Amino acid sequence: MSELLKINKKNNDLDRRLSEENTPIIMDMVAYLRMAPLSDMQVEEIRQDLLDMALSAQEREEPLSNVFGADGKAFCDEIISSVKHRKPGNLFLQWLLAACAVISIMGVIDLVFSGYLIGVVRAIRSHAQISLSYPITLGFLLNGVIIAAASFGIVYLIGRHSFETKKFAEKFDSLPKPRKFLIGGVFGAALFGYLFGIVKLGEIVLVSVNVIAYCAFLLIFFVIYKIGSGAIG
Amino acid sequence: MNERSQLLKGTLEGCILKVISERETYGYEISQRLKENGFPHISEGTIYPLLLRLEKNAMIVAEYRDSTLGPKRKYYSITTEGRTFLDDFVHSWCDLQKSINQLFSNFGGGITNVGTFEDQ
Repeated sequence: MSELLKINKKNNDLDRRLSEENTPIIMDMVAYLRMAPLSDMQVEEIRQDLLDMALSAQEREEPLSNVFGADGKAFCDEIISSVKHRKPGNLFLQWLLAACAVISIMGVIDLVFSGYLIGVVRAIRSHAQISLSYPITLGFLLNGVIIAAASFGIVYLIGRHSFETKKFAEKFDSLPKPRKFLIGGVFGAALFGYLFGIVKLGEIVLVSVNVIAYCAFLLIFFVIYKIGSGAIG
Repeated sequence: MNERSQLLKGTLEGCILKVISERETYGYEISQRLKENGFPHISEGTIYPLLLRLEKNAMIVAEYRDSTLGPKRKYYSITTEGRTFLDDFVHSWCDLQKSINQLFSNFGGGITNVGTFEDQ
């Protein structure tokens, strides 16, 4: 197990020892720090230090505001300005590696849900020849790009506004029920339209590739992601 | 209070280095030593970013050690560069203190004892 994974696992275990009151405070700070120009290792080491301070304060029955101050965001900004930032190239590399992970995962999901595997099972049962031609559809490509963009966007927004999520949730809670239903309805309709569109676009085949080569590429992308993530830490 | 905060910002690193120079120590202990010596509003969180900065500038080195609470605790010790910086800080502070005292004495009133300001 890499050093990064070891410290991450240890920190996850320590998180569970935080009280109900202290957990969101530390979570908000860590989410905000993850969006800063710091390496994953730096974030985990800082997280370890924050957990040490928080658990000590918890032991002394002191509120975390006594340790970190009332403004968690300002405290995190001080930390970010005090450490050496990761090189800009590393950020680009991280995004590239994340893209490799997305491609491999989306590729496997498409393989499972596209109906190709069902076709293989049917062919085996009826002793027919198995088609090795796997269609890459417009729906698959667009779906992958949109899901990747939405994932990165959501993670970034949550991180940058981590100290405001409670305020946002309270604001949403305070809306009248009809408006909540309207917002939910709009989202639901948008999601339905999106899924319908993707299914329709899934009928447009852009290119057909050999399924073995397709699986090999997915594996290569996944291996690149694993090795690269371990290297940059 | 604002003036005190501004003054603290410029001097706290030197004070932290002094505490660390006495013996290897960790964040909470440093804040407690500062509190015992006239810095009542300094928390562990206040000094944590300063410790990171001192470490980045190679004034101190940090070592993680197992602690009874669970998370590994960071212990700090001063480096040669840190001792040089501390010497410079002490000299600068003494010079500055001398100049301020002289100014206030010459312009009437002055700083008699520590913490006392004598009105004109």
